[in-house]
Amino acid sequence: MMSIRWRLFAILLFATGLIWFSAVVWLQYSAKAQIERVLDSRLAEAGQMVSALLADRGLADAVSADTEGGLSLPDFQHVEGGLERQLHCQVWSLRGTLLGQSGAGPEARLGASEPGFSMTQMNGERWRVYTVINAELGVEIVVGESLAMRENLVADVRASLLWPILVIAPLLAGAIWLSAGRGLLPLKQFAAGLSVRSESNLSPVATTPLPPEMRPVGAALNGLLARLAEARRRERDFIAYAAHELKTPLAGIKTQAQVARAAPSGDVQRNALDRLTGAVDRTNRLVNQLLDLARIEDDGATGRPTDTTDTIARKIVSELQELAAARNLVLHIENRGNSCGADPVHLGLALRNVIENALNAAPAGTVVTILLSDKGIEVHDQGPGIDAADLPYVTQRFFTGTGSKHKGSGLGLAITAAALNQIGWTLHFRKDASNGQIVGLTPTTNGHQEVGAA
Amino acid sequence: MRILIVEDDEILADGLAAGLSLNGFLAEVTGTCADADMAIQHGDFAAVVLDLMLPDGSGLDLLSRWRTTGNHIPVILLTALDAVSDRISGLDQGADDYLGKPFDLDELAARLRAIGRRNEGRAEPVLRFGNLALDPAQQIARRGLQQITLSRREYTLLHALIERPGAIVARATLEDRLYGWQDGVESNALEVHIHKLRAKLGAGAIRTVRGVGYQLQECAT
Repeated sequence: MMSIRWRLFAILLFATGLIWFSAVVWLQYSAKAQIERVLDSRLAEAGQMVSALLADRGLADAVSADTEGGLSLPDFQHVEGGLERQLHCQVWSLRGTLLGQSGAGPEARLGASEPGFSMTQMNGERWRVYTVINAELGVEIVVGESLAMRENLVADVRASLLWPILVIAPLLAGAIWLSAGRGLLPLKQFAAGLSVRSESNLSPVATTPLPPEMRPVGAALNGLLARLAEARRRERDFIAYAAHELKTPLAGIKTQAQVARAAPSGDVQRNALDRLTGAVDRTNRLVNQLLDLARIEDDGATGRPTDTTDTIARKIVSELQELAAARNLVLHIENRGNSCGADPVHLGLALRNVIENALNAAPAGTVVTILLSDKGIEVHDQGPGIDAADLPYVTQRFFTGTGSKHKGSGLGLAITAAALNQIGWTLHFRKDASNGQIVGLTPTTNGHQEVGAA
Repeated sequence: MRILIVEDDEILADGLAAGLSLNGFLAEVTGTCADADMAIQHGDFAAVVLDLMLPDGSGLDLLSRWRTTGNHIPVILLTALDAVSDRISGLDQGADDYLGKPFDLDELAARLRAIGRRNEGRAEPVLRFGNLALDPAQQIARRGLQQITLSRREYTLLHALIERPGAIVARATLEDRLYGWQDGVESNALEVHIHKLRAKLGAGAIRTVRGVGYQLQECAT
C-alpha cells in the first residue's frame, strides 16, 4: 500500500494542479473574449474615424475625379508601436475601385461589402474586417486587422498565467510534501514511542496528546495491552503457584530421604524409601499435569473429531483398569446409544482426569461406571461427591476442595475443563438417586460432529 | 519435646513425624486447621510446625487466631512461599521461626531444640542436674566425664525429668511424652523404661513417688 504521505502528496498536488489549470483555461477564454471586444470596438472606431475624416476633408471632389490617382490616407503604422502593418485601411468607391489605402496593405480587397464585422483570409493571413459604407460620399471604408496580433495578445496572457505556475509548482510541491509530513508527525511519534517500548512494558499508551483521528487506534491498542497484561499476570501467578505446589512434594522427598539416611532400623528406612518413591511419582504426576495444561492452552486449534467417544472411552478405561484394581474398585463401561465423534487427545485427557478423580474418591469395593450415550459421557461413582459450595471453584487451578481428605494437585478438573473447552464440550456435575457423584461431559451443538466431519 | 505437626501433605507429614522422632522429639500429625485447633486445646505441646496452605484455611490465619486468643505456643512456619516479604509477614503474625520448603530435617530439629531452650529460659544447649548432663542434639547423657548412650524412649523420659530439675513429674505426663496419642500402651511400659534408665544412670538417680510420678535425684555415683 502507498504511504499516507505519498498519497496525500499526490492527491493535494493533483487537486491544486487541476484547480490551477482550470483557472488558466477559464482566464484564457475570458481574456480572449475581452481582447476581441476591445479590439473590435477599436476597429469599428477606426473605420468610423476614417469615414468622418473623409467627409471633413471634402473628398467629394476626389471621388468625382474617380480615377485621378491615389488618395493619400494616413498611415496607421506609427500609431501603435509593435502593431505595424497589423491595422490596415482601404477606401473603395461604391463602384468597386480602390480609392486609397494605408501603408503597404494587401492590394486585394479586404472583406465583404456588407457593413459591419466580417472575417477574411488574405495572403495566408486571417483578418478581422470592419466595413463602413458612407453613402453620402459614395465610398466604402474597409478597416482590417490581422488576427495574428490578437492571437499574440492571448498567448501573452496565457504565458503570463503559466510561467508563475512553472516557477511556483516545485515550491508548492515541496510545501505540500513538508506539510503532509508535518501532519503525519503524531503518527510517526506514536510509532516511535511504540518501537522503543520494552516487551515487559504493557502500560497503556497516552491517548490525550494524540489527534482525535488516532485516538481510536490508541484506545484499541490500550485494550490489547490490557488483555496482554492480564494474560501475563495470570501466567505469572500460575507459574508462581505451580512452583509452590512443587515445593511441598519436594520437601516431602527431601525429608523422607533424610529419614532413610538417619533411620536406625530397616523398617523405618524401608517405609521412608517407599514414601520417597510415592512422592516422586506424585511430583511426576503434578509435572505431567502442568505440561498437559500448558499443552492444551497452547494448542489453539480445535481438535478434529477423528475417533468415536466409544473408542476413546474404552482406551482410557483399559489404561486405568490397573489403578482401579489397586484401589479395589470395578471400572465398568456401558454404551447406550450412538457414540459421537470427538478429538481423541482432548477428550481423552478430559475423561482420564474425571475417571481418575472418581477412582480416588470412590470407596473401596464399589463400582465406577462410564456411561456412553448420544448425549456424551457420564462418569458415576459412589464417593462423597463434590461439596455444593465447592462447585463453582472445582475447575479453578490448584483448587483442592475445602474438606477433601484425598489431596490431589487441584489441576485435574482444570485440565478437564480446558480440554473440553477446546473441543466445544461442556462439563457438568450432578448427584444420582443414591447421592453418588455424576460428572457429565457433553458436546455442545458445535462440538457434536459426526466422525470424519471436518 | 512433644511437637504438633500441621501439614496436609501426607508424605511430608509422615517424613516429619519419622524424622523428628529420630531426633528425639515426639511428633503428632494433623492435616487441617480444625484438627490443629483441637490438638492445641487438648494436648501439651512444646512447639508447632505449621504449614501455611491447609485444605480448610490458611496456617497464618490459624496462627493469628491462636495469638489473639492468648496462646503463645512456639510456632515454626513451613511454607513454599519463602520470599522475604512472606517471611516477614509470617514472623509478624506471631511465628517464632520460618523455614522455606524444601528444608533440611536436621535444621528443623535444631531450630525446635532452640525453641525448647528459649521456652525453658536457658541459653546453654545442654541440660544439667547435679553432675548429670543431657545433650539433646546428640541424645546422650553424661555423668562427669562418663558418656551414657540412651535409647530414644530413655532419652525422652530423661529429658522430661531434667526439664524441671527436682520437680515430681506425673506418670500421665511421662506416658503422654512417650507415646503421644497412641492407643494400647501397656500399663507397665513406663516402668520398663524407668527401670532401664535407672540401670544406666544409677539406682538412686530416679525416685518413685507412689501414686504421683517420678523425680530426678542428685547422686554422687
